[in-house]
Amino acid sequence: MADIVLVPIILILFFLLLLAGLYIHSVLLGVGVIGLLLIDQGNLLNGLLGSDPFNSIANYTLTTIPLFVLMAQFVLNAGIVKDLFTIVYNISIGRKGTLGALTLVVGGLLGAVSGSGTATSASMGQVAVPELRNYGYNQNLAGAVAAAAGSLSGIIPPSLILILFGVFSETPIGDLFMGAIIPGIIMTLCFMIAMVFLLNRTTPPERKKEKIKFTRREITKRAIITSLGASLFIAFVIFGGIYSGFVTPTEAAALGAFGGFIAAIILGKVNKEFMINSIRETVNVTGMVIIIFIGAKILSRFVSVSLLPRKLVESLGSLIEYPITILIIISLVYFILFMFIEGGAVILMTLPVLLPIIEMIDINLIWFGVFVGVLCTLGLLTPPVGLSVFAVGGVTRIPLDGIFKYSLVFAGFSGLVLIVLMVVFPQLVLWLPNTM
Amino acid sequence: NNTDSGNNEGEIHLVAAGGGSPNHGWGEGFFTPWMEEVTERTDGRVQFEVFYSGELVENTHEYDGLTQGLADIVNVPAIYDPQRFPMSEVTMLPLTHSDVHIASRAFAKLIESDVELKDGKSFVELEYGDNGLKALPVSTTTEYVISTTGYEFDSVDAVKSATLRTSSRGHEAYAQDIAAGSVTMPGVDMYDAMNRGAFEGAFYSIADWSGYGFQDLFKYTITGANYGHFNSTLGMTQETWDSLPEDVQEIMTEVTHEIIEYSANDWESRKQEMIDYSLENGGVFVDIGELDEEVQSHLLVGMEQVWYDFIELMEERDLPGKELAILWRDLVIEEGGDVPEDIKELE
Amino acid sequence: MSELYMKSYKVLERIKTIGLIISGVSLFTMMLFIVADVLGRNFLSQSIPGNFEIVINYFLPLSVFTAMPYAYGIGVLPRITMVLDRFSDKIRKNIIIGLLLFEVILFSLIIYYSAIYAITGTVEEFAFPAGGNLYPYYFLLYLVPLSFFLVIIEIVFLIIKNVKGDTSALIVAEKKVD
Ligand code: NA
Ligand code: NA
Repeated sequence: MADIVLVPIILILFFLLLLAGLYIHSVLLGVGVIGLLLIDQGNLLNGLLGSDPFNSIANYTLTTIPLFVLMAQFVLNAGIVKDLFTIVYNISIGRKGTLGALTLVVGGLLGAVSGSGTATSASMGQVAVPELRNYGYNQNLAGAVAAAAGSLSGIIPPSLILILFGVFSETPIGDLFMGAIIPGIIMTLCFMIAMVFLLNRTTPPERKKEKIKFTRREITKRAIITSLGASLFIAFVIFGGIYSGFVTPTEAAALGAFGGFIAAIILGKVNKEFMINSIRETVNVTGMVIIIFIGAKILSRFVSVSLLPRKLVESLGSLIEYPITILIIISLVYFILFMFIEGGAVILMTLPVLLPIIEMIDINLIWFGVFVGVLCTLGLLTPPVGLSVFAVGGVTRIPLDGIFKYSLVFAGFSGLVLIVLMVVFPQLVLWLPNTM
Repeated sequence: NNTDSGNNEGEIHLVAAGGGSPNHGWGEGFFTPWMEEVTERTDGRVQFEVFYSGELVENTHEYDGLTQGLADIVNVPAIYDPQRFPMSEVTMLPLTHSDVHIASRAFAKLIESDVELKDGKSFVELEYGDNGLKALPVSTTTEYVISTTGYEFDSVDAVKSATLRTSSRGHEAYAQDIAAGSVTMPGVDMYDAMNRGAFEGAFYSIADWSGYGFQDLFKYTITGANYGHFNSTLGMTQETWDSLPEDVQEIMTEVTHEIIEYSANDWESRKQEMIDYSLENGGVFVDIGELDEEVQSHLLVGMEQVWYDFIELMEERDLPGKELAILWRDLVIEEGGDVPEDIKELE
Repeated sequence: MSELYMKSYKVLERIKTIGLIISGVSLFTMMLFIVADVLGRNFLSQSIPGNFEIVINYFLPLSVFTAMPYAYGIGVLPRITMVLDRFSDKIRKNIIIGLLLFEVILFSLIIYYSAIYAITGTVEEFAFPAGGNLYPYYFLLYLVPLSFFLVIIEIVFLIIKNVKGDTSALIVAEKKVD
């Protein structure tokens, strides 16, 4: 079939299936299979569908995904979020701006022990929202602060998005993690600025100087030491361990999960329910990633065999000399996709097409991975599908549209700052990996 | 599967695929020039569509890709698949002298050898033919040597307390024979692990250092003791091969021999580039002859043992281990290489 | 839905739960295995021979393919339902049935070809070399067709529910509120 007909047919099919509500994994798989049939390569189905599901999964780097999810589950189910937040609450002694800022700091710290913005947001919603409300935050802003704090787990390493990007593009996960640290910190700072701004706008002038009646919350020394100790241990293993080469990312994930488990034992949280909840959540995320991964693999085979990227890059011609134009187009596409679709799925569905292009226009893959990771994290906060906001709304029963009003400000402001900074100063991403 | 789908009358369209990168020694030094040459000498009658880097078939699954019809021609790094290609490991046997030219010529002769090893079958019939494969020889890699991040083999004890990353069963057996520790880990993770001192070194071919940036890491290399040459072949199903016109078959065979020489030179210059770089950056290359006598004999005794281990391993699987070892030994010596003393006595 | 339907679905749920348990146990063991290897390598300078090959060929397939039917069943997998939600329930029902049939076709292809691959693997006794030994793994190849088979069974239940039930449904058992 001629490319001039093939491309529109494939695109229409893709969006038709997507909008009809077909699961993403089946959209990828289906378009891949139909695409192969259309270009008269149905004979390849035997080889690809037969061995790809198993062989593309038997991948050492992919192991990090279930392990990091398991780690996050142990940490969250051990009640460490609650402990950390109680510590922060006690430090804030009634100053509302401080509590909001510290909530975001806790979010950043949790980011270092959790790979998923959604899971962390749910915990933050449970723990932080009632206290923020107490301090006089309107409920929508409180929800947005919790969602933003939780979403930081999406970019601050370990990050499932970066792992998926790394596995699919064969970019070292360690480099991606190191590259994401500075943008992650900048994002935390941007969230704080946005938070202060929004707090000022939503607080009536007469209540601005008001200090809340404050009573210290009870927390045992053992809980303080264990929660802080476990978080610091895990963060140390992940950052220090990977940075120094002491452990590979996969090993860091196993050690981190083990550390979380030990902490849960010390905190007396390990029982049947704890194990079942932790495992179930891990299995869900793993199952999801794997089935999408298989679909994406098949789609990427079709894309390769069709030779479309090669032809596309040829037809882009002189545009190749202006990578910035292509980058702007790609950013827009991602921004839109992340609005509607879960981040990991977006990564897996776009890379088969984009990777060959990115490689041909010579954009650094580590930089690009972190860039996409940032966009994806902000997508957790944007309507209509913003999983961090969904998670907070789910546990707090605050209406979603209210939270989105504010979370959109968090995402928009940080996105603008980060995109400009990363494009103008790529070293913000590349400096740390280069010192490894 | 695609041999008949050309656009023009008589055009042969072949899908070529491999798991390796186009910039790797085999990609740049062998496969790409081989295909270009074949296309040229057939006046464009044979056209290749190439997929490198696992785009179509994954590394170590090339043979599956061939039998499943994903590609018409692939590189088969058979050593990665000892279950189906058990005898290919023979080129990983340690030698006391050789280089990429010697090993490549010996390997080409091994593939073309009609010496009957078992049941009246030659090496190529047993190893590839029985798998339904037509194999054209490819240049081997440069020799595997022991390199460390600076750890020196100045005593037998030093050898015994070293831990090395192994990449084949022969290396694994050798590490055991010389009582050194061994680790297995993916190539991509090696740099970080060695960089922080998780283990001392590895068996690696110098020409391949740049793949993972090892030229900045390896500071101490023992030369003159060589732990084999990794081999690969260009594989087609016998069916595809038979479907090719005779003159195309001839051209392919002819080009193969010429490119082996070209590719061996390419490997050599890659190796020299790494050595020059390393020397400039404080790297040391020590010939085994310069080592302490006790260390020398400790290392050499281990080398012989690997041959016996290999023969035993083959014979356990009812394969002609001894015959194959003798054939390989003779081919290596014939091409100007050398083997451990005891092995010369092997009958 | 009929009692037979509910009863049969219970059986499927039990099988998926077994998968969940295998996945969990395998995952937890994998964690301990890697921790042991790291400790061994750093404190005893002895790593487990063939550790990463064992992880990717044994632990990983055992952890992930057993998890898939469960994850599929509870409907956490991402999809876009915005457009779907705008249609009347009757139309929605038909679209859902169409999509489910499409998935049945796709997954049948995977089952068919991956079963062939598993049989090939069995005949040729697929094994991976690690630490000087050959470890067979062909029997794990059957996890792929098996897990997609369970997914198809789930889909069949869902199709029946949409055909027979009063309203359209995206999952068989509505999520329990926790
Ligand atoms: Na994180
Ligand atoms: Na969004």
